[in-house]
Amino acid sequence: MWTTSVEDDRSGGEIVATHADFEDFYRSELPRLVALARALCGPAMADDVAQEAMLAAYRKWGRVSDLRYPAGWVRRVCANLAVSQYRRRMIELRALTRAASRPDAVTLEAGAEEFWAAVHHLPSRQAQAVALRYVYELTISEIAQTLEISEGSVKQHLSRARARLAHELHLGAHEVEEAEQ
Amino acid sequence: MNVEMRGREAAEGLRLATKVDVEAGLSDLRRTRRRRDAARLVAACSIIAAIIGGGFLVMDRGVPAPPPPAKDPGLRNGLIIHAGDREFGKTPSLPNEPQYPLWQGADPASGSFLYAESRVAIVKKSGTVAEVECPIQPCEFGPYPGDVAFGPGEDEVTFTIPNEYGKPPQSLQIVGYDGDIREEIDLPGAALPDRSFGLVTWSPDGRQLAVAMDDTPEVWIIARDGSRARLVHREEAPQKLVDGRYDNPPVVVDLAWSPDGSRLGILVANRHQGNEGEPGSPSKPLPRLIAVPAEGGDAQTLHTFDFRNPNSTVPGNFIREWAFAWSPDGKRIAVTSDGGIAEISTTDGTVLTQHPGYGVSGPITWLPK
Repeated sequence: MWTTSVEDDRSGGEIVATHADFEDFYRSELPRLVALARALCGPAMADDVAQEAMLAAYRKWGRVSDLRYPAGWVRRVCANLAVSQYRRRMIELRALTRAASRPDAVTLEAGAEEFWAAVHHLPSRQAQAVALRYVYELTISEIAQTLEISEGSVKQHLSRARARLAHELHLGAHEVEEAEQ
Repeated sequence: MNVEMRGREAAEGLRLATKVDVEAGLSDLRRTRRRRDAARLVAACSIIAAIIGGGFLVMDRGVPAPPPPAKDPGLRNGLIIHAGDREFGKTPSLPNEPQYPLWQGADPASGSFLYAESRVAIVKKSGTVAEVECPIQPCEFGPYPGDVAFGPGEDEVTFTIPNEYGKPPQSLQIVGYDGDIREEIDLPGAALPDRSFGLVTWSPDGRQLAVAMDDTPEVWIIARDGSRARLVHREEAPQKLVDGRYDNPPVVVDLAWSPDGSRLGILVANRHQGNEGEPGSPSKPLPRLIAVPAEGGDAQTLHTFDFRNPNSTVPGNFIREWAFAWSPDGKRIAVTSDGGIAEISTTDGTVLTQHPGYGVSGPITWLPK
């Protein structure tokens, strides 16, 4: 099909109300979304990954806002962007042009830095489950809902992730058992 | 202290350290959307103007414009073009080239460039050839990645699409440059196990499709009709490495057919790219460039990227953006690294030539002269 118009799925007076809704959503959700992105892919790309996730929500807001769990949708987009090399490389292309004018990210305390560095070494699903668990303090059920996977899968990912993190962070076997409970 | 407590403390530290200017972000978001929408509008208007002017097809079939100048005067085997060039305007732009390009590559046979966001634009030296709307917008950043590729026909592109909104891609949609959906192939139903995939690329003759899975380091070759799936490579995925550190399994980050379709090149690397092989990160598995015979047979490791080796002849210190392309004669492969582009022999994997440069990243294509 030849393109003859610019796509816009909104109409007339809905635009103002819809955008106002989105702005509230953006203000409430962005800070922790950036933290989620930073947990999964580090500080250099966190702002851009979170912003791309928000842009996806903005463009589809008419549809996303009708979802039962819009915040879960944008968190899932963000979490998947953050671990997807294929998409991150495109975001990075965009980010390169803005990087020079951006202030450096605030450095984490050493313990936190070590923890998130270990999370970066986890398989992607495990890393996502861990990031959602701690950054958002989500329950198993909420993580499952966010990632659209079963609660059983979440338990498995978290259990394996904790075991690996315990090993990586030298927390020992006792702590692993304790953490898995 | 256990993992749970460490995690909560680390999350609190992360939240405190994450400073966000929400209002500035919101303004930037609006600007970004306006800019991208404007780019689409410009592209759409260009096509309309070409059609109204009656010169659209004439332009495409007219006397070809001279090829853009080679990036590297020393290159004697065609023209290597990479996304960094398109992004930063280092090489001349084509007529009607999208203002905000997400360059996906070029078709060596036709010389067409392909851009994708929520629509796909195919651009030649003579101007925009077609603009096709993405089905279910796979090219836009959604919950799962989509991919778009030239082929299988010379006037067709292929999209990966989810069977259900918000799910990973599991089907292919072949769309003509005229916008007609010519075929849909449900890969799980036709050939593959019930899994999602990430990258797709058609063989030069359009008869076979190479598919890289999204979540495991596997590559399959599938017949044109979606049947006869063959697993041609599975990368071993060590979970515990020599120094006791755990790591992610490697994944397929790019794949490309040789020009004659006899071999399939596969680039495997760690999912968290950026410092593989850097000094001080010995626990990371080293990225490898592999070639497998299309008709079956053992994989050949062409090159292992070991930047810890002081004699490494690939420019730079690491590979940030993973991509490679075969030369038109099939004798070389160009690989991007942070220091430029390296040409690697497809016979023995030696690095034959370097093209140092900055901003070399993203997809890459090697066009004939």
